[in-house]
Amino acid sequence: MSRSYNEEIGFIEKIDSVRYKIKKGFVPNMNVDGLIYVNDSIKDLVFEELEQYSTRGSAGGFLPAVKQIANVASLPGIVGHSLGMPDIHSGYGFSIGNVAAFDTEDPMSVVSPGGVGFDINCGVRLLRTNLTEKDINPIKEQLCQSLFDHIPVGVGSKGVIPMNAKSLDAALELGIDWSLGEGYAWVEDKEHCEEYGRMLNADPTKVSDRAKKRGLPQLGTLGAGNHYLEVQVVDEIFNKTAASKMGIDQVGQVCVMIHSGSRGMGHQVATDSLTLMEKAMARDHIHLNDKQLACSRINSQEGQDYLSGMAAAANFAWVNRQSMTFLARQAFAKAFNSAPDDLDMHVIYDVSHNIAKFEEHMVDGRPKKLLVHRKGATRAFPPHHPLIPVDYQFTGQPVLIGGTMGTCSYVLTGTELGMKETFGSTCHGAGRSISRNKSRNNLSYEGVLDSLQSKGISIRIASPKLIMEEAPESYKDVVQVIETCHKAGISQKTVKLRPIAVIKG
Amino acid sequence: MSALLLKKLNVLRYSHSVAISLQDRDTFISIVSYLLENYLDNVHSAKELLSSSTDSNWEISLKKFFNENGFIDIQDASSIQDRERCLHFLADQAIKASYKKNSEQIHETKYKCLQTMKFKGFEFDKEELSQYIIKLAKLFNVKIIDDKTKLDNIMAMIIRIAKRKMDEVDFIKEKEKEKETKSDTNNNNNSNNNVTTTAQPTITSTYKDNSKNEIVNNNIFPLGFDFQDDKMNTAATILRLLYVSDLRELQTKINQVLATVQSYTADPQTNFKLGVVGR
Repeated sequence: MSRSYNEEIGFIEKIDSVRYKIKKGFVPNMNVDGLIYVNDSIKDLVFEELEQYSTRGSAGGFLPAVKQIANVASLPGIVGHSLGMPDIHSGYGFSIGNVAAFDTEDPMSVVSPGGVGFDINCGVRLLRTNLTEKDINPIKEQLCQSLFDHIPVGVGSKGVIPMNAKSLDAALELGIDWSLGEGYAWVEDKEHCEEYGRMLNADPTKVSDRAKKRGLPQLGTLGAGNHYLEVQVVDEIFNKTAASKMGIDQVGQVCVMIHSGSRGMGHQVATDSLTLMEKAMARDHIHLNDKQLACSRINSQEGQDYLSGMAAAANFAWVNRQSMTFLARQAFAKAFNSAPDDLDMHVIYDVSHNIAKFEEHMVDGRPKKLLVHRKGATRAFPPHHPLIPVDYQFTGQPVLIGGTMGTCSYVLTGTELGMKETFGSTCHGAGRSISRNKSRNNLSYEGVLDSLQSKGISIRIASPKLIMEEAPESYKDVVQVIETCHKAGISQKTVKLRPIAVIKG
Repeated sequence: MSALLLKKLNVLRYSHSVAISLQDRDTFISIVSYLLENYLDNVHSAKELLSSSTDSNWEISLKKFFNENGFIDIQDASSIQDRERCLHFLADQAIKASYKKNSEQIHETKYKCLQTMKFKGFEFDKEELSQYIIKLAKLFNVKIIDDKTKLDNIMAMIIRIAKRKMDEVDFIKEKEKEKETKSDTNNNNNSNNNVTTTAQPTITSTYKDNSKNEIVNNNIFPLGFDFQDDKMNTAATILRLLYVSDLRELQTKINQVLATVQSYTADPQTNFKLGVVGR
């Protein structure tokens, strides 16, 4: 029998100004509690969704994000909490902004493609330059056009880097090492990528021919949706020491942010695995609250195959972002008539916000090997963690948070508290607040463009409908998302960036 | 011979039945030969020096060997000071060479060694030791099994529990600090009321260090923990800085190797005719 909103809200307990606990019983079979991070400014968006569900039922085929967080808490082998970051919103099975860790020592533990997302290893990369806004302004439009010409965007786009089946297999296996070997990467780029730009358990034979066929022409393309390449300028520096370690030393300094993933390849890997896992669940007696949570035991054939295929798709995503880095460097070099290294176009960091990885964390006072799913959540390891680059050992891992088309982006750093509370994770972006349909109906094309123009933002976009769908009004206020994480202490503000040129699908 | 040199030779497994005297020329030659033969045989002209060990002008060959390899300057190979300096230097080189050769194995077995070393000195069949272990087990609420062969397991459990208890020290310290603050407030209130009280001694007092040593800035190089002792914090920070600088050097060397390989393999290509913008 369905519960009223008041009955539902009775299971949600406010712990402090940014933490809410979802208690066991909110949905059946919860193994752990849920924990969500929202402050007063954005909590209404989360709870309104639940209220609508209580009165009118689910909309758009997805359950409300808090229900999804609780459903994940009912999966076998989960430890700690099922965590919701401040930018949570409904997604396929798992909400976007959900972190869930599964104990690898527990034979019942599962891996779920829904916990990673369809765009495997969707992530953000930030390049710095030694240019300032003054240097860019006179040629901003030409630069924006040049970037648009170098990096194809949109659904069905094809890249300018020639690939064949053999080189694709190598890229899937080697990740950024393939780019290094071919000369699309600088050696320092690898050092500043999560996982050093390569997942070692990748196995291209676990990627279907269909997925490969989809990925082959797409290398070096941005894709559509919320993916973008932005030329940004440093707007505010919160932590001078950490910023200078990243090579950011002044307000007005120009950076380039690339947000993209594994394109059709990752989508196909996820789809293929979901089909296989749905069949295997009956065999393995896995019962779920929501069939979108389709999963397999980590050690089952289906689970292992998915992890190997997912790793290969993740490698493809790194190669993709690296290829776009190569092309962006070329565009800048042509625009400023100098070599990219003279422009100091180094990678500050590259994060992944849709991935599942084996990591060691403390659980009940003991170190445990966990399979941590981060879907729309970013790894944020603290200072001195062995898996972060030497340059950031004293600052903590840089965390790159992309805003929306007209709003700010942030660089955060990981903290010890985050390591203890959220398996070293934090938010990933602004997070949608209204559906794409609603955005198209409520916003006007001219209105959004005028607003961007008044902010001095140049834009090149392949699909006009994206102007409304990706307008800042369609998203949560990124500032409040960041403030929540900062206040909760799961990551710390370091640098704020604002866009001056955007290219999008 | 200094104790440090003796230690180094022991580490290098140089066996000697009687005390080593560097006054004895033959002993000196034999140690040098041992080091060259066993650890430094790849060094330039080491074989020549080894073959001349019976020559009367061996000291001249030794000096030449040091000069040719750019080692330290040996003025007088018959003086005890220079002999000791020479052996210190060669022993250091030998240790480095040995580590380099076996580094992989050393790292692999380090953890296992540490585990076995923990109980190396224990003889679990001694009655007295058994009693102490049982007492400790009771103290830590570990279930006692009468079988004596299991005592090493009980000991391992006690160590694990003790380690975990150590982690709680921070929490205890915090609690004590709170108490201290409260008692200070009480003291202030009490003194206002002209009532004399004695503050309780707290655990924090044992962690306090009033040294005026220079503190390495914790804001710039955060440790992630606090010993509540300036000296310890500074030492830990320095160790961290050294570790990070070693790590940087290692990463730079890796990058250099990658760049060298890349110069042979790289051939990046673009074909703008292939590019298609989607919708």
